[in-house]
Amino acid sequence: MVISVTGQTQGRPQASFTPGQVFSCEYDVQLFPDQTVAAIESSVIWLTQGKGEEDIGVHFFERRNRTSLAADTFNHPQRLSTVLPLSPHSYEGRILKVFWRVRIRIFFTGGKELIHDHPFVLSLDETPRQPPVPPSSTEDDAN
Amino acid sequence: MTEAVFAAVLLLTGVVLLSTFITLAIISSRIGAEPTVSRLYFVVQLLIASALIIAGVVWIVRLLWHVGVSAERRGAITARTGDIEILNERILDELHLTELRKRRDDLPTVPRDRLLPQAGRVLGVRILPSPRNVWGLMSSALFSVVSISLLSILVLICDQSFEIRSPLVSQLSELSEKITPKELSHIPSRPWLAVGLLLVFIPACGWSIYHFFRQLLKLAGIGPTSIELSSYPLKPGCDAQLFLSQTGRVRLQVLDVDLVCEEEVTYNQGTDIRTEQAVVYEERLLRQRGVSLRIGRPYETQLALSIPSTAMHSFKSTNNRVQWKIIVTAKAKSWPRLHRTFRILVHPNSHDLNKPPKNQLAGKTS
Repeated sequence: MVISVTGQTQGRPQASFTPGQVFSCEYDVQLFPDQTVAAIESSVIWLTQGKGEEDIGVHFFERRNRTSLAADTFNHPQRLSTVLPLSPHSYEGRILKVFWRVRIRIFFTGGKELIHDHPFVLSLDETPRQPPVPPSSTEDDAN
Repeated sequence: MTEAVFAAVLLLTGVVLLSTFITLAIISSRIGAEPTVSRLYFVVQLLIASALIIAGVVWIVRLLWHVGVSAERRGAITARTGDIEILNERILDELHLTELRKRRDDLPTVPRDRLLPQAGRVLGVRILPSPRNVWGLMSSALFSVVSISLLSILVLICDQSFEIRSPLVSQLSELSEKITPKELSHIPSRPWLAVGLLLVFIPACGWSIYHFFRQLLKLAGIGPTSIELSSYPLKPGCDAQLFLSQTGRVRLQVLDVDLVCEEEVTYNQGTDIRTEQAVVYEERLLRQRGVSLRIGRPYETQLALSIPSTAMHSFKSTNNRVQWKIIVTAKAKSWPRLHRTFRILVHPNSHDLNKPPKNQLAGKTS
């Protein structure tokens, strides 16, 4: 099975989004003939990584069960769309990082499941926030 | 400082006297000796000791109240009890409050102030002062009082026991040949236990008194720190003015004000929950040497404050956080080091908020 996700704005692929912007994404699911999907979940989440315990925040969530999936559902790209929140911004700190992800989770009949994460950046300047560089000299040194 | 020391000495003297009088009375009644003083005189002794304790406590409380409460608040409380409510109501008008609350709801994971910001005296917003460690003072005072009482009792027990035991031992030594070892084991050994306890209690008592004086001087000598900002909450890339007011009654060797951004994470290690902090940004806003603090004449200064444009906004999730702080540290000769932290909120920028937002609390000019 193959999952591919493309975040986009007005049809153009994009990896960085600004807070409050409309976020759209398409994902393709290619199944092997013997695979049967029991349910599929799509979500837009932020999660923390680093030295601390991982926290996760769900901004968008949709679950479709087998009954709502047609036979040809995965013959064409699936789409999700949401307005991104104003926070938290993507961040790459020293012992803490905040990432944004589109997460597609597929549940197969028989109990197996597959997760695919597609990262994107939520920021004003297309790059994650980072710890600023401290001023080189301080009054402390002068005194 | 002299006042604080005198008040503490008064309190501790009262405790020692009270413990001594009570212990002597108890020992006298136990050994069936004639009381050395009349009942009336004993009551007078207790009253004097209690009066010393009460006077010391009242003096310390009064000192702390004078140093710990701002002049404005003291004035308001003295004038009318309703003034505090009036002060709170004039902080922000209703429109600002509504917009501020709405804005907070739109910023997930951005922490909120527990209390709404207050109007500043010089600049727009006053950041609430960090709570002072009054419980630390009370606990050290309690520990000090208990240890002094125990020490006094032990000293008296030892003294009385040796007075009683010495002639007994000398008589016994003369008759030692006639006494069997079994009978010798009945000789009370309690005084030696008391002496052992005394040796343990003396350093503990000395430490507790030192710690109590240290806490008292820390609170009574270096008063509250007040921070005001020209705009609040702050944003990455924004400039603001900071007003610092430091009250107290001591000469500071050095006074520092730092802007700090800190990451804080919590994690499980075995059965322990550990927290780790990492300072990712630190900027010295002020270093002032030789600051003299006097009652009614606080040190006041105004500084420029800037949040770097690439910085992360304040962030809080269950186990992780990014927090911005203004840290005021001061050092005075022979005094405990002052370290006060003011947590400030840095809200994220967004495209429509690149220019100063309407609902951002604007600073008033002094």
